[in-house]
Amino acid sequence: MKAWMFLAIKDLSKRKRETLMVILAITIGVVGPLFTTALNNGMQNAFVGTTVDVEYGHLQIQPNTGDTTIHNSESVLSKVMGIKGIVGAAPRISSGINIESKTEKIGIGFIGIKPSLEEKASTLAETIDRGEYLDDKDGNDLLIGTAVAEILKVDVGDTVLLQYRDRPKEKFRIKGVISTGSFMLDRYAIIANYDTVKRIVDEDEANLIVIRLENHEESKRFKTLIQKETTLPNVKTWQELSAGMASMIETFNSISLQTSAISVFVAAIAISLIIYTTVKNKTREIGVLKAIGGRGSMILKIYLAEALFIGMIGITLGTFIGLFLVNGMQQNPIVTEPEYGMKLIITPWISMNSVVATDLAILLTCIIGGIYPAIIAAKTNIIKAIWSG
Amino acid sequence: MIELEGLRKIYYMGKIEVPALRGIDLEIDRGEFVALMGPSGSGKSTLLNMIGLLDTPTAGKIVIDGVDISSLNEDERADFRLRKLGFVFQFFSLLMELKAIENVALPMIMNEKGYDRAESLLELVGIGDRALHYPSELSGGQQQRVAIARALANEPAILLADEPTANLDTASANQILELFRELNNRGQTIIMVTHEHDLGEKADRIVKLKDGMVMQ
Repeated sequence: MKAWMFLAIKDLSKRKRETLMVILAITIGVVGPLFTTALNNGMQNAFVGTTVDVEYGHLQIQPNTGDTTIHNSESVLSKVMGIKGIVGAAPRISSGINIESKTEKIGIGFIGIKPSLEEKASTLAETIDRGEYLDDKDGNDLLIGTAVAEILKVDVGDTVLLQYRDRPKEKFRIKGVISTGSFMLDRYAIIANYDTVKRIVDEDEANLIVIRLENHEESKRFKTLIQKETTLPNVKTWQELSAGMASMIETFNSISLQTSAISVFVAAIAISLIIYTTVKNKTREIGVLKAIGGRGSMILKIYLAEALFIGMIGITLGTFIGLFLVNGMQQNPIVTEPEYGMKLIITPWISMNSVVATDLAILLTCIIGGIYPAIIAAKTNIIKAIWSG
Repeated sequence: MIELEGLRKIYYMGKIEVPALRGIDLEIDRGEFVALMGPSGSGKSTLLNMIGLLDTPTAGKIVIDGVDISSLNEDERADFRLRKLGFVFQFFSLLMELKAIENVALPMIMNEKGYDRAESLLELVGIGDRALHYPSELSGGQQQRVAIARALANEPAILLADEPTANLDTASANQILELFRELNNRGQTIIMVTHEHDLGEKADRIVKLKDGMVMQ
């Protein structure tokens, strides 16, 4: 065994309590960023991911500027569905309508979908909280959000009245209650079959075509492709559609970054302090080590090895605890109810790249934190050190 | 074995020059036991530090075992100390987190050699039974013996001792001197700084210093 390694191990094992306390500080320093990053990811997923998957789709074809509908939407749809790499595309038609239960009456968005196509274009079908998803043959059947259900005090199987402008009221049966995590779908809209909505609101064409891709990261490429194929200019990517949420995401990222920075700073200070204190307390011993033939580089290695060792143990522990906590929260996600019965499920997650990046940042911090006191030790003047307290 | 020629050392306290050595010429042969003596401030410890490569002279030449020390860089000086010199300091200069035997083995580990001799060195200095004790569990005399065993670890050409008995009671001091005598009888070159005349007289030769110069 090399002398520096031997001395580093001996030194650390003699100072078990201090070493353990610094390891604990590093552990917390690792758990902090891992957990906040995972939580941040979970929140972004809950707000943006859910909205994109259920409401926006990966791409949307919108009407040309000045129009309210997409001309020849059926033809556009079939062209789009012929493009390789597109998993599904579904038309939507929408308008405003009044909905009335036995006790309540509100104005709300009225969206028409083609259930079988929608199943491939979005994850709406997977958000049924109770009751059933719509069928292509359904007529006056509705999907309503959990928040709407609570406001109207209705549930699956109940009947409500819909009235479009001054037309006669029509009876609709609530077939399912959805919990999407999207404010729009849970709180501000109800969903029925495309043809039913088309009939009631007197529209001939779709207002929107929602598209799902095999790989959502390729949205920009497919936007160009669809624009070329359909000659329609108003194709929006999910990034463009969720730009409104950018400030919220930015806030999350900023909080996450600040927490990480504080953690890294704490780790650096903890490491630096313990090594610096050790060096100061061991000035005479360092002098003796140099006097009996220890090179400056050997002394440097002792204290760098200590910083590295403490750092690595702390990082390993912190990573395990951090991932354990994240895993635990994945099993029991945070469920928030921002409004009425609407549910927002936050499931933290973290990529392996983020874990490695966090660990490397803390490791680098430990080295930087340890290097200054280690250099002081290595440069210790032998005579002064030997005669120091 | 050791040749000192015109050795000078000046310390600076601000802008004031404080000469510690004022031109020392000295030769020490292999196998000699030399006591450096003199009053406080005479430069005896400074001279020992120069011979031990712990400090650098302002002027003059030091040749040890045919090597001109001024030609060595910092790392070569460290290696020279490790392989050619053994140090015993006034205070008990052991590493507290190491057991007695580990303290003795340390220079051998640093020299990347086996450390089998550590045990026999502790036997040699008479504390073989304390090998597994930490310094805090040993008396002052025992700690100084461990320090001597450590100084002998790499079979140094010269053993340098700076007031090795200053912090010991009379009985322990005599035992340490006896040990030095015994080591010298086996051929070990020893240079010892002391201000106690009784102890100095046990050496082969006394070099007296005063005001940074050799008196005889």
